[in-house]
Amino acid sequence: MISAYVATLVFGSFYFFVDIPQLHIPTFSAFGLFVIYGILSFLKVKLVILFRLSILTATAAFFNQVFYTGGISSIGIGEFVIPPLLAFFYRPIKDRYYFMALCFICIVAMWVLTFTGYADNLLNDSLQSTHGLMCGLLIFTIVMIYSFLFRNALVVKNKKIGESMKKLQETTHKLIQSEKMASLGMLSAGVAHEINNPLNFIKGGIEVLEEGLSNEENLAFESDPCVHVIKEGLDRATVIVKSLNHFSRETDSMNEICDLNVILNNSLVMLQPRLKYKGKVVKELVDEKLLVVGNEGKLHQAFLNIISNAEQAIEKKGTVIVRTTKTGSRINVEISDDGVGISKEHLNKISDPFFTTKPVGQGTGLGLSITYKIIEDHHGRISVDSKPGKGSTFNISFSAL
Amino acid sequence: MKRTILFVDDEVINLFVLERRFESDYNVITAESGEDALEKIEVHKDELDAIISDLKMPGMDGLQLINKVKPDVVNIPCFLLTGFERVQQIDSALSEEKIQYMFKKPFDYNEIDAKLKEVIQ
Repeated sequence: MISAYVATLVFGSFYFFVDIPQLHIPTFSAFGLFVIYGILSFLKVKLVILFRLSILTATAAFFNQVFYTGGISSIGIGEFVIPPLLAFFYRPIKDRYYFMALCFICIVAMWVLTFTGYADNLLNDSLQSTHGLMCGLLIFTIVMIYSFLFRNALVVKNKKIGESMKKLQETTHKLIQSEKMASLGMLSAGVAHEINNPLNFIKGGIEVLEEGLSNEENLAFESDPCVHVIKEGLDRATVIVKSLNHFSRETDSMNEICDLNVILNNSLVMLQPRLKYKGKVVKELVDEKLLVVGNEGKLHQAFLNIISNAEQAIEKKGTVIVRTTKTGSRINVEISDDGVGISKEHLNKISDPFFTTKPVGQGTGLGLSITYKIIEDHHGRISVDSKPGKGSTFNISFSAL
Repeated sequence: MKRTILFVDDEVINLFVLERRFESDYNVITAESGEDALEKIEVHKDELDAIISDLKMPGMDGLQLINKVKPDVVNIPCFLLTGFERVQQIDSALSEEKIQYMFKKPFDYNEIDAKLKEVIQ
């Protein structure tokens, strides 16, 4: 607005001093209108309307100025860039295009008016260059000011986008964490049950050992089997707790060196309490380390999800096959089941967040979407092949370290 | 005379410990699955005094086993060994006196001993 006051005052005074009433009267009128708009902006008038009126007034003033200073050949013709530029700073966006069209029409009309001889040049030769300088300065200043404003607006927008991106990443991270905690919750029942058995071994072993040793007459008592039982209990409990540890690690590092065979073994240990009631697990792991770089905890989460789904897909009795192969620098993991399978219409939705066919309360619908995300984060590829009633096969491949 | 009891559990080590713990007071028979237990019950049905079975086992579970043999094949006290799961069927089996008692894992061997003595001696 200030630039409008300055421009109309400077140009108005100039035209007044060189005494061209056809120019200074409209210019001062424009100034008057701008002042009125300025006052109205303090009242309860919609700003959009004032913006539109101001730009229309400016356009009219430019048109009049160009018309009387040589028509299409006047430097002032460049001023028609300004109205659309002004319209860039408020909404609705459509206004920009309306003003662009309006100014285009003005230029064409000015060309026609010049050709037909209606346009006039009221400036004498000595004023021509001064007037040209003024117009040039006006256009230059306005374009400069607005390009700075644009830049600042862009910087602010970029910052906002950056912040949203960061928030999105944080939320995704939190989502992955909570999905992990949810599946940990579901696992813990089975795992606790599984720890009961080794605890019983230890307890029983110690009891038998105590009784045997306290009875001094019983020379034939063999302590070895009891010790073996206690050891076995400890070993089993250790394996279970260790695999849980791998799973619940909370680091973001993507630089860990992970052995996929170990991860698959751990996942199978964790799911063993559930798997053993669903038939067989066939494990065909290649006899070498399958190293990839990434986050161990997250990879555990991903494979646990896939194997857990395979287990859940089997209704009564079936087989889960976990197979790893290495061809060249590519590691392939294949996890298949002969369970219920996935119908065609569901197949392309399985990686959508919150998509689940499980009853309410049994699935979050996040498992596979997070699994896909984790595999993608590790630059892996995942595909699924499924036939309803026949079972599903998940193929996951990574490039080896 | 020593009484005869049958332990059923898919964990062989649990069976081993139970056998060692109770062999001095009882004739202990063990079975590694529900199906295995059915055969052994058939063979020993006249001398058997109690059945103690794990609940969760691959194949036939403990409750299915007891429902199958009691009261037609044998009518003797039956016990379940369970984790912390609380299944509706256990409650109804308890109220119908299909099972006498259930021991929670990790179980107390002395508790099993005491209950056995109370029920069958």
